[in-house]
Amino acid sequence: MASSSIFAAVGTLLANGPGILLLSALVASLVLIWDWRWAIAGAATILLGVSSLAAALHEPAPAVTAAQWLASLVSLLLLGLSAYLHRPGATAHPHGNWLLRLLALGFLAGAWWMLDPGVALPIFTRVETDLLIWIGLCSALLLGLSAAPFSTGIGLLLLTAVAQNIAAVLLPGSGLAVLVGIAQILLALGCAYAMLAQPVRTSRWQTAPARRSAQAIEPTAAPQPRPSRLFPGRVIRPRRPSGIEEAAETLKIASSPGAGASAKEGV
Amino acid sequence: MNPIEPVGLPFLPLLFVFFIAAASASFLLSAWPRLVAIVGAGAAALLAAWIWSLNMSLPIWILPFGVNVDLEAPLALSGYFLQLRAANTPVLAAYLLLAALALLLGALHAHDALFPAQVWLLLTGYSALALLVNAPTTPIVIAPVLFVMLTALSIYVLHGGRQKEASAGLRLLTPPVLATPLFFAGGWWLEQIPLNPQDLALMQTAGTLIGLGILILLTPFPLHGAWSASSESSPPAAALLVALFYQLGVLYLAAQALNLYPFIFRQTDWSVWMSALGLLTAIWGGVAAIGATHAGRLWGYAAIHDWGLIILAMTAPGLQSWTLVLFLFALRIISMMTGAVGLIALERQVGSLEMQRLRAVGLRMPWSSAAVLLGGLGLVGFPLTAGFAGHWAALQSLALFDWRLAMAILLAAVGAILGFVRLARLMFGMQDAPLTMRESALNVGTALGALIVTLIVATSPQLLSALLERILTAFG
Repeated sequence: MASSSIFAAVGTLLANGPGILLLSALVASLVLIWDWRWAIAGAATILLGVSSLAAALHEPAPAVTAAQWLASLVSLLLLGLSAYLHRPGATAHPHGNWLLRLLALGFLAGAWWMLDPGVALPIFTRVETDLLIWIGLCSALLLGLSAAPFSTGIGLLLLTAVAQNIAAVLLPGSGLAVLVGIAQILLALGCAYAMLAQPVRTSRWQTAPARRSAQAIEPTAAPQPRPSRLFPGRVIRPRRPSGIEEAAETLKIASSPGAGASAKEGV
Repeated sequence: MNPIEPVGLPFLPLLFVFFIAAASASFLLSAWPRLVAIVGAGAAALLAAWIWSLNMSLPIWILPFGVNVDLEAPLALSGYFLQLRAANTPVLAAYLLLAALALLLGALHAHDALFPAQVWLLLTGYSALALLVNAPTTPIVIAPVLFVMLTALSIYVLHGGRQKEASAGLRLLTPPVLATPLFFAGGWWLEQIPLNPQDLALMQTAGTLIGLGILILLTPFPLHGAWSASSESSPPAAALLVALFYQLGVLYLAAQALNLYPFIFRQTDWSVWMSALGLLTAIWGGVAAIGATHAGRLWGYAAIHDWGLIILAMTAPGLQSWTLVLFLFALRIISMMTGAVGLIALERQVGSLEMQRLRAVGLRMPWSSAAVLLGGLGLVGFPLTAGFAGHWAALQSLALFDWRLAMAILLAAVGAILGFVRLARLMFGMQDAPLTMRESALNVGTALGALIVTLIVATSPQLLSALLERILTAFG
């Protein structure tokens, strides 16, 4: 029971109004604050907090809560490590800015408040049920806002946490909570793999300022070969101008005053 | 469970040791992917034929040298029991056959050296899912967690070591993850039914939750996105394997759930929702195929159209028939295989399946191009293709119930056919610059084999009736 009391003690801290509100706000912040470090820290707090809350209120076997903690920490470690090693996989932008995400969250909360379908899970208290549903809704929003492997991984982990809690409380002794923990680790492994396998993209907006500044220094000069970013010793030769660019250049020369004079002389 | 000690060697541990050994050997010998895939395909096909031919009324297999193998001996792991029974034998054989076909396709185009090992691992998982007969709670409730695990493994298969994003595999994870809490909550209500069998509310709640879970697992519109995306971004062999393994697993789960708990169907609106979404899936597959610009995605949309019809055949009032579902699924396997054979050859030669890059390819690779077209058209039930008999039977039954639904599906199928007509015009159209590619003898042989199978099934679908009768024992 010693280990049970540890989890339950953590859960008791959260098993009150401010604790539940804190967890709910943390879930919402994962949608609003689009930063991988915040997402890892927030998801860890939510996953451990929700399982501790169940330990405090429903007293499942301590081994089950310990397995939940272990699976959550291992999964988030995997996601965090791959995000640290391969930033492009983790820093992909969502579909929409913070205002749109705030509106989406507000709409979600408002719709839930207005409709209130009265979903009630057996054994769970109403507040717990609402917290689990809120986590599920925010996870679904997270999945919908970006197809990036990192945010998909966080969203899916939060959704599996809901399932894991239900299994630990409603189907005790079935070993399902442990099975969900294994599934969580496999899922995080898959997302980490997808993140590491993501090809690095160089947006044209990233290269544009360099080109613009070079043109600003010497606007009429011929394009200079620029050093390669990956291998600075090598030089990337400027590409051959396309047909359209050649035609545009000819028109530009023809329309310049000096060119007009020479054309008249030709006539 | 069988309380009697196994007579001789238990079969299932031997089977799983074989699977793991095959996966390990395939991994260690990944330097020779083609050889490994061919040997693996042979082993899986032989095992499938042997398991198919097993007579489970004689559960002891007597070997020479006085060694016996107990076929029915259960494999117990922490209260979870796997057992080979007469009911799940055909499903196991079907999984083995699908694995053999995928390995053969993998041998055609060794796109990923690790593909054979991944096939064996997936086969192990799906076999365990089919053989799970007893657990601390009902096996149906456990199944979605296993689906989460297996789709997580599918991410590697679908990525196939390509320099592309692996988001298609990730999207595939969403339906089982969403369905899991519904099954768990439904499992609690199922446990309450014996305590108060007169209470209809218990049955209704359990039926609604589990029915909704199965509905999500079936990935109807709008959850279908992973299938079309994987058809475009993944190697065709990988997309085929993952789709057919998953869909066979879900169909078997649905059959088990409906047989064990018939109130899912009777006391809820499950069938209405399911058939509506099946209809939408079939329509969307056909409509989206019109605008597809990638041959793989077109193939994927045709498969989605076919899958919508299967969902409809499973649930629509007046149409519900497992015979029709299994018939459509068997024809689906043949059509998808034929299409995949052609797509693999084209992708290998052209380097991409973008339609613009397939211009005039049919003039240089006619057999592979014909396989793509005939396989794809089979998925939408075009006459003289493998899928025609199944689609025609389903449409006829549906028209008896409501002719407007049948007409909607027919119009959607016309949309998909238009997509294939566009592909055919590109592939067999003239091009100014002559293409230099050539169709290898291996590609001609496999495409020809697939086309012959397609035409035989198209002209004599009754050849499948013996197979279907046997598989029907597993689906009730």
